[in-house]
Amino acid sequence: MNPALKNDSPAPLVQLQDIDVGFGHIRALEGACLELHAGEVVALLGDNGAGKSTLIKVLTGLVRPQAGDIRVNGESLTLASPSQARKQGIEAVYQDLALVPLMSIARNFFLGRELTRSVGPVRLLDEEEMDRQASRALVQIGIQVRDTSEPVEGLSGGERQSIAIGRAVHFGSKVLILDEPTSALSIGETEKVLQYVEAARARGLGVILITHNLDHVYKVSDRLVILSQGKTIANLPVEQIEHEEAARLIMSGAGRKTPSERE
Amino acid sequence: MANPISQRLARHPEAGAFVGFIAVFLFFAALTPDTFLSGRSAASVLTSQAIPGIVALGVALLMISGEFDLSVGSILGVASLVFLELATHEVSPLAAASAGVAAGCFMGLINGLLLVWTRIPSFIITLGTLLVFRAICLTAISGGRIVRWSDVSRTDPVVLVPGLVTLALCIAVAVVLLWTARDLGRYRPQNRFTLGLSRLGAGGCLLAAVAVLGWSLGADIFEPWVIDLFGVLNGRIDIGAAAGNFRMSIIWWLVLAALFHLLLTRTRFGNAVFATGGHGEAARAQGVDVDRTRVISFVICGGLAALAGVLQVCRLKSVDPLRGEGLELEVIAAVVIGGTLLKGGYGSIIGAVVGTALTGMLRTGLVLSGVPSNAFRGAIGALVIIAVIINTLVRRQR
Ligand SMILES: Nc1ncnc2c1ncn2[C@@H]1O[C@H](COP(=O)(O)OP(=O)(O)O)[C@@H](O)[C@H]1O
Ligand SMILES: [Mg+2]
Repeated sequence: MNPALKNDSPAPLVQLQDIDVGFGHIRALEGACLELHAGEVVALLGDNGAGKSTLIKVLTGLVRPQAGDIRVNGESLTLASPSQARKQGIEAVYQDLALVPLMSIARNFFLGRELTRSVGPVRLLDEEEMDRQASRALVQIGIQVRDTSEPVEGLSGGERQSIAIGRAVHFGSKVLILDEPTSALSIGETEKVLQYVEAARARGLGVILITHNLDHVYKVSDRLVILSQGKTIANLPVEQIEHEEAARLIMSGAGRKTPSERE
Repeated sequence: MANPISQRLARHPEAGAFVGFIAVFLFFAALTPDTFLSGRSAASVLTSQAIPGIVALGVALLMISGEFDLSVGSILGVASLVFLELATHEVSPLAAASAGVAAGCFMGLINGLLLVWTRIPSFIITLGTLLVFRAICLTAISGGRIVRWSDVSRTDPVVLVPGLVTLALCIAVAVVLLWTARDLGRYRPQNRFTLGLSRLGAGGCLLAAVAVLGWSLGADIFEPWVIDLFGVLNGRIDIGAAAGNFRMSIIWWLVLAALFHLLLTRTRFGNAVFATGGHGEAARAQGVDVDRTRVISFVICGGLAALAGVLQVCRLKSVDPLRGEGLELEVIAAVVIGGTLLKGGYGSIIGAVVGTALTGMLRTGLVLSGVPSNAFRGAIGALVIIAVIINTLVRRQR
């Protein structure tokens, strides 16, 4: 696919413009921008503390920006809560907010959208159905779990990560966001995650991948966006930037804005 | 890897409390078999624990959601006062009781809103409201005054429900029961145990519906239904003179425990409570409205404390300004003994019931074996520490 063509299409799936976020006197984001099209993988890069996680939390409704414009399908929105973002088909795997350790795999899988059945005037959890659907969904994605009614607490970091990814892949219908998803994973598991990313793109989802591994970036992404100290300093198709230069930009923070400005 | 039985035990927060309960029971049964193993002492344990037991249900739910309520004793006091003050000032007793419970819900709401607005730890907030709510009682009934029902009437209040209203209520209840029976009967889970349980539930609902309808048909619809409110809420249950002092509050305690167990383990709200206490930010990221969950949990906790106060008034028929003082620590101890984690995310209503019963049994047992009653507090303290150690060890098994 030709990224240049896609950039011309009128309404990107997601458009974040001039986003400002402050935590007390820390300015996490200052005019950050991000654009994502359907069927596109964007690598969101930047040094630690650059504001990557904060930017995607703005998109999932977890962090309210002080200023800026959020557009989904060209429509301006205020994402007041995470459930609103989920209704838009946006799913994320967070770096620091994966699963609730003392709850079972199935309950984590369906957290916030539990399946119920009605019993007289009340609705009770349909635990059996959640167990069945969760294990089927995880197996489909290639994640083996012994027993979905087991608490997450006893699982390894990699297993938990896989379940969180499986959940986002299963429920994400428009946008899939992965914040350093491979940090706890083995080589084999990492390969699988990159395959999910490609499969999601093939299904027409927009994918935002945050990672420190530039090899992965060049393997799966169409475009890269570099953040530095809360600002977007680069936004280019991967073909237009060399591996070394991208690395230099991420580290130095001094860089070019967009392809159009460069020309 | 531990063996499957201990692993299965470890999934149940109340497992440790059950074991402790049996151990303490056997200990006193061996020590003072004649007095301890009697209906009288069982009645004394259950009747004395029903009130703190109902408060403990709310405190357990709230603790699982990750929060504390130190103000439950004061809420119980204010609610008791609201109920009896209104009832002794010619407000219908049912309305007065409802007002008492509503007052408790409102005080819980204040606690919850203060928490989500200020983000101050609930331990501090409710330490403050403990004093504020207590001050309401102390200023409203000052100078050593005690509000007594007997000052206004020699007989207990009755509630008159018009016959037609009774009939309508019965039909509504029967419809809900039949509806529930139908849904339970249609449920086809794979698990044999769940299947059996829903079949049993369906049968029970059906029988109850028939009983309610039969009773309402037998009643005269032009005669009002006379309810002895104090009696229904916390009267003596007559099961033979030798049986001891069993009271209605025991029934309400167990019914409420069953309802709140269902709420916590089988509903979306209950799931949100566990998730909020287990990892609030992760739950919020999955679209759980954690602040709403916290506020509702506080309201439930306040409402249950108030209800316990109302039930207690129905037995004591008086309110003094210090009613409920010190209750919070006793209840928190019972909940912790029942296996609920202080930091939230793990625990059970059944554990809270067993924990409350265990502390009551310990008190009765110590009294019966001639230990000075003041030593009871020390015993509870030791029990809390032992229970937490055991619960931690059991949890490591998985
Ligand atoms: N909840 C928060 N409270 C205070 N500061 C925060 C919070 N979240 C992020 N920050 C700060 O915002 C900046 C950006 O953080 P983050 O978005 O996590 O960066 P990245 O994901 O790129 O490493 C950092 O300086 C971080 O310390
Ligand atoms: Mg980050």
